[in-house]
Amino acid sequence: MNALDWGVLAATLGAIVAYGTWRTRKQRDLNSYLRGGRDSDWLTVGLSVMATQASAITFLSVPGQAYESGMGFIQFYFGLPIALILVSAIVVPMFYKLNVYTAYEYLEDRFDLKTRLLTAFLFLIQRGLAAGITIYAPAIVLSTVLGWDLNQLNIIIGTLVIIYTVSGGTKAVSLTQKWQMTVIMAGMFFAFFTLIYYLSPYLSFMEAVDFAGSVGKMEIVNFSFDINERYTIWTGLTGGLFLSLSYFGTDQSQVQRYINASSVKGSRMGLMFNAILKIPMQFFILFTGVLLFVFYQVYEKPISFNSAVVETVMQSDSAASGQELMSKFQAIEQEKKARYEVKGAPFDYEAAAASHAQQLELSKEFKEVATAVDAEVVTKDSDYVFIRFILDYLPHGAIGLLLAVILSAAMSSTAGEINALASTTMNDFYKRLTNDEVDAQTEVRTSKLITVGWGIIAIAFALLAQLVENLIEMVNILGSLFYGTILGVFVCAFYLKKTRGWHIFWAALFAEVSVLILFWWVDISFLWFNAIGCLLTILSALTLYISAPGRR
Amino acid sequence: MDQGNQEQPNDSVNWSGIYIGVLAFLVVQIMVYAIISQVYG
Repeated sequence: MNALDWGVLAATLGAIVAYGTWRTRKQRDLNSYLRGGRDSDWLTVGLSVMATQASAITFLSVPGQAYESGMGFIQFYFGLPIALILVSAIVVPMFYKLNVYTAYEYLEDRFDLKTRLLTAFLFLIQRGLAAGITIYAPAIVLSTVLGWDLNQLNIIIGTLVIIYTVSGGTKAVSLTQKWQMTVIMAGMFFAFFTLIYYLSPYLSFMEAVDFAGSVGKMEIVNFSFDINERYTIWTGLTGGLFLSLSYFGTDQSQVQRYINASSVKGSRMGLMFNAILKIPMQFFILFTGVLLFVFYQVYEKPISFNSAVVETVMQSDSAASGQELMSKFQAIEQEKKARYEVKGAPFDYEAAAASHAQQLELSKEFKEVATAVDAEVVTKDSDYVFIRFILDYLPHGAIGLLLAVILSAAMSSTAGEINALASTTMNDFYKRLTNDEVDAQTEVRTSKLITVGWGIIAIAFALLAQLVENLIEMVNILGSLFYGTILGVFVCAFYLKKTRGWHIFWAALFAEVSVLILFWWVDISFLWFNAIGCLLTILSALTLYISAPGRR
Repeated sequence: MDQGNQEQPNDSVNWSGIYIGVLAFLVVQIMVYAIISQVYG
């Protein structure tokens, strides 16, 4: 990074934060502060929904995922358009009709206060932890690669987000997300065309696709019924559908984005914008990762993209065996270099595939050595592939832009989350449980204080994150323990018309306790707890309704 | 809870048509991806 990169990075982030803060400096009441005054156009809503979902780790991990395993991950998103259609057709009109601030407000109208509070509480636990991770995940990658201080980076990202989210509320979040999304896509297009430019002397675009296909990177759709396969068209259309339904229909960080539109029409158009563009966007990011794979068959690559792995081995007693593996790896790099020394030399498919297979094996052995030295070192280096390309091969200025992309994505997701946490705390707990008659300005002031509070909690959790082993998985597990119950409550609200608050509250409580007990006693993949929580809530509510239909 | 937004879904947009269009686009994408998988996979 040189002065130009720092300039571009600071100017891009500074301009977005300043724009969001300035445009929304006069927020007079709670409606304008927490719902953005409900005057956003459909494009702002659409981009805001997209930016909240796309966190920094999306742009760091997804190209790396394609680099490692090919395009199959796209199937995970096949259920998303169907979920968005259902949310648009069923959920959106209901939220607008009841004029709600939060998704959980609807539950009091449909059931009772205790069901609303229970569901809102489950959301706060889950999303509160996730907000810390949204900051921490890119910070750990950037600090490793750039040598920046991890704690300082966590505090900088968190503080920037707090500044505009507190100052301008929901509207500032939506407005900044619109520009963050623009910067993100501009940066991704730049990286994509740079890759094509670098490859062009050696192989054409179609030849690059052809080579990627020959080593299995272009297997996009998998029709296999094997339940052990993680990404197939069937898991995408079922698991992806349920996950997207709970995320877009019941998660306040998304609900807050689309109820911010001026009308049902604007809200629905924003969602349809995502239903149409999400899969092509993910395709584009994954395909960038595939081109990155082809790129590294021509250009020099390291034995591990995570330099911490190399350091772990080379500073240990196993340095000799590590050095031996690295020498073999480098010898293949030298062969590769000789092959493409003449610019315009034809791309040798067979030699490239053979070199790739040999280097893959050497990398695997190297990672095994690293794990033997330190069992806790993260040897999976796919998250580091794209950032290494950015730093090693992009021109100065563009490096600053791409880093702004990653930090923008971190900030846009975190802003959406702490904004949603604040509105849920304010509306579902503070305003609902205190009967104080206060003026609009005091309400806005209280909301701002709550937003600062959640921002500080998010930063604190990001700072503590490094003390906890395998934290990302831990938060995913925690999310899965609560998401199923929340979805179950909303499914009952929408479809089990005769059930009442009494049935749902105890059903949800029973489901949640059962999920927690199962989690301790049964050894199954945590993803299953989403489905178990949802089904247990629905079945328990039905059982209670059948045994005591009239009880309220 | 106040009166709420009075706007109803019948807002002169043919939503059924849009939803069918979005689903059709999803099917077309999956078909294209399946063909790419066959040709290059």
